[in-house]
Amino acid sequence: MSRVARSMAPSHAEDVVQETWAAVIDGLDRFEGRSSLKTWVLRILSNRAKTWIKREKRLDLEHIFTEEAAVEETAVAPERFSRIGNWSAPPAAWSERTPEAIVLRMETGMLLARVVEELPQAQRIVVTLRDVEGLSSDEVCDILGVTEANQRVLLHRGRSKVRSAMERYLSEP
Amino acid sequence: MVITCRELTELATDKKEGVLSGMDRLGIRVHLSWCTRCRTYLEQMDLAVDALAALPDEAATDEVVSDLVSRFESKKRTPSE
Ligand SMILES: [Zn+2]
Repeated sequence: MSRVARSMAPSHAEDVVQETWAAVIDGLDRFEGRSSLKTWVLRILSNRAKTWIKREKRLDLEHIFTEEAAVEETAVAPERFSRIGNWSAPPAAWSERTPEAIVLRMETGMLLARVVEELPQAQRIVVTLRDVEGLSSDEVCDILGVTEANQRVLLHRGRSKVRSAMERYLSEP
Repeated sequence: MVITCRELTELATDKKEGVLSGMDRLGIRVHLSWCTRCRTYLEQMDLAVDALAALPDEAATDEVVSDLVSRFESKKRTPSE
């Protein structure tokens, strides 16, 4: 929960978590079990975080998503392809080939967590909810109130950046 | 439908999300049949996603959950008037 709060509103994560707990305890009687407890809690958290984001940036989260999705960005640096679009600097084999070994190699995940923290805000939020927390695309769009298309574009860019960061740690010399 | 390596890297997430058009799906299949570099690329994208899922849970979670439970219990004991 604090991981999701930090991904959304890094400078107010503690406030967001505290307000969420208060709202969860208040509302637990009214929780109807139509969604999982996890998505219910995360929806409350997302609403609290959105309020903080709006207070801090004077922008709705939906706007931030739309603007970040509209920025032109490639999954892989263009200079790694030839003029006709074939690899000129192809991906090298990695020293670790299982998720567990990669996490271990990246200082038991600390380096990987930092890679996620350094993603642009909307990418960081989507990657945290989809890949770290394991929510579905429908759940994420519902919780955040963003469109599926924006969600997917930002997920793509975020994941592409995570892969290229891993490449720096895992490429065999 | 010929797909270049560069185009394939931009379709990686659509492929994993299962939202490719029929043309792109066919184009990617043909491309991967000869391009080992893009096969490596997609394997690494899958590994990146799986590694994110394998990040250890934050240590605080257990404490926080037991804190919630005890606060909820005490709220039940003292119902608001
Ligand atoms: Zn290729």
